[in-house]
Amino acid sequence: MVLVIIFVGALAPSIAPYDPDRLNVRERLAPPSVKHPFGTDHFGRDLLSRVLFGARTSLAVGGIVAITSLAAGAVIGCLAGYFGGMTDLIVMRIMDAWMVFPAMLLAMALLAAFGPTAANVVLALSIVYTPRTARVVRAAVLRTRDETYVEAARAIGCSPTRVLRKTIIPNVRSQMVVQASFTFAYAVLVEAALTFLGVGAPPEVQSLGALLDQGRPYLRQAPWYMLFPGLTATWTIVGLNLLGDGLRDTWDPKLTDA
Amino acid sequence: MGAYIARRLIGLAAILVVVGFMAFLLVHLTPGDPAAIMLGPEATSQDIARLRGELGLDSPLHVQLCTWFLRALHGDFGKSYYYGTAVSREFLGRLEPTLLLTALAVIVAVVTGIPLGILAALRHNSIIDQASMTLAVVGVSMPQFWLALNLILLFSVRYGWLPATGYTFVRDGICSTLRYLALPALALGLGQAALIARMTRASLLEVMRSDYVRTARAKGVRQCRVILLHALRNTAVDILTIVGLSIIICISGVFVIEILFSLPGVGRLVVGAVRRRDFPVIQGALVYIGGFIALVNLAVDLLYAWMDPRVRLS
Repeated sequence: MVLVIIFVGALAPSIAPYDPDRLNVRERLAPPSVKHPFGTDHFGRDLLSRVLFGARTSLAVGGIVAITSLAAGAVIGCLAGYFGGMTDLIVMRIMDAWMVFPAMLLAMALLAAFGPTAANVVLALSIVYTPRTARVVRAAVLRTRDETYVEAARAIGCSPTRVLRKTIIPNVRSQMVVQASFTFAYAVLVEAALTFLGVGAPPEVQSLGALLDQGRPYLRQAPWYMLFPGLTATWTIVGLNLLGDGLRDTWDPKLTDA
Repeated sequence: MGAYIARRLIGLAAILVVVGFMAFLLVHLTPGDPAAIMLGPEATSQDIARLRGELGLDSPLHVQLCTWFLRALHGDFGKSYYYGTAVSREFLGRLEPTLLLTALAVIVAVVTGIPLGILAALRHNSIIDQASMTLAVVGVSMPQFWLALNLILLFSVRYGWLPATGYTFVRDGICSTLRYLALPALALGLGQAALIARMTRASLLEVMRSDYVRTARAKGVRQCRVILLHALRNTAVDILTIVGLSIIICISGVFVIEILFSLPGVGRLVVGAVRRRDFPVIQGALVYIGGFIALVNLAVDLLYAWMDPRVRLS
């Protein structure tokens, strides 16, 4: 599922049947047909093409957020977990406080401070999801820190960076990737909600959330307008969640349900 | 237990201090002058200077921090520049719809989620299990506002059973309030139900494999007694955690839901404040909502310790 949507997002320019911005006033709010499989919007623009480009934006936002929050969270989590003591206590207290804010609220507050642009949405969401990753990484580092092979590496005089890179990170990598795939899913979801509320990226930036927002006034006359962007978003997020579950089950048999 | 409570309360205080600090820093994260941003491009330099004075932006940072904390301790987050009233008053006036909505949504989530999870766990690997878990993944993944729009389409556009938007306060009759809150609570709660079902199932499956359940079965206790008395009691701790989590996720969802259903609650106040960049209101929201969630977490942990003595001793 994820592959399909990434494929579609990457190839949007070449597979879209029409230019997503081409207006065709005569075909306003046309229902789905062979010519326009997803129907058209209030300017007569082809919805399939718009959904394809929207998915591209949403995926890009989610992907960048997953990678940046993973990197930042990994650094913080490794430092806190490996060094322990006061560093750990202070850093994790800050992370705990950071996490009491619901993701939506913190993202909105940060956007109010930074200003609503697409780049700031990515920045704000990365900040929101960093502590969650940091926590997972820290827990994983704590579990492996006292293993014999880590001690051995320390005993032969490896520097902390080397110990982390060579012995600890390979062992927590799987959990990091699992966490990143969930972050990806959440980021797509929250980005859509932010745009929908009109506090995210400006409407010129086509994303699935923007399409849903634009389709809302036409709920009665043209239900397909918000049906297809919503289905696409759900599809993407289901795929990402299943990917996360699958990866977790493969790498960590202890955590599986049955 | 006393020592445990004391330790947790200190932890809570520490979190609240950091929360306050973050809310304070928010204004200073803005590129440029926060006062100018709040007033918009048409403001004169006198207006900006006056607002800077009101917000205390001209004094040194540590002085600002101290005054801000002292006032926040009294619940004073300044005045909303848009409404011109105290931030705390704005919040109090909008508490009712938000609290009712959250409570109803949590009830919807618990009442549908837990039975679904139990059913899936008991008929493990059956069609019911597969179907409910598929439903759960889809429920977790669906954008809440999209589900809400579909509910509006179905229940108020197609059948006209329930009002799509609006709200009446409880003092004007609770029946009408509930009618207005039915769709929002469903929209908010069903997504959580999916999550609760998933977690209940996982927790119950683990318990069902334990030795004491096997022993109970072996000595001939009837199936429903095994489930109710032996298995469910031991998943209660997990379910409690899930309910706590669900309250938090519901609060996260009130922003979108309140906008969509035009409910005059805290969520709409905050979204409006973000659009207008009304910083005192946003700061208040961070502290109030963050504090509320920290309290929910604390309550869950204390109940947890009360139910399971191993927690408070470790």
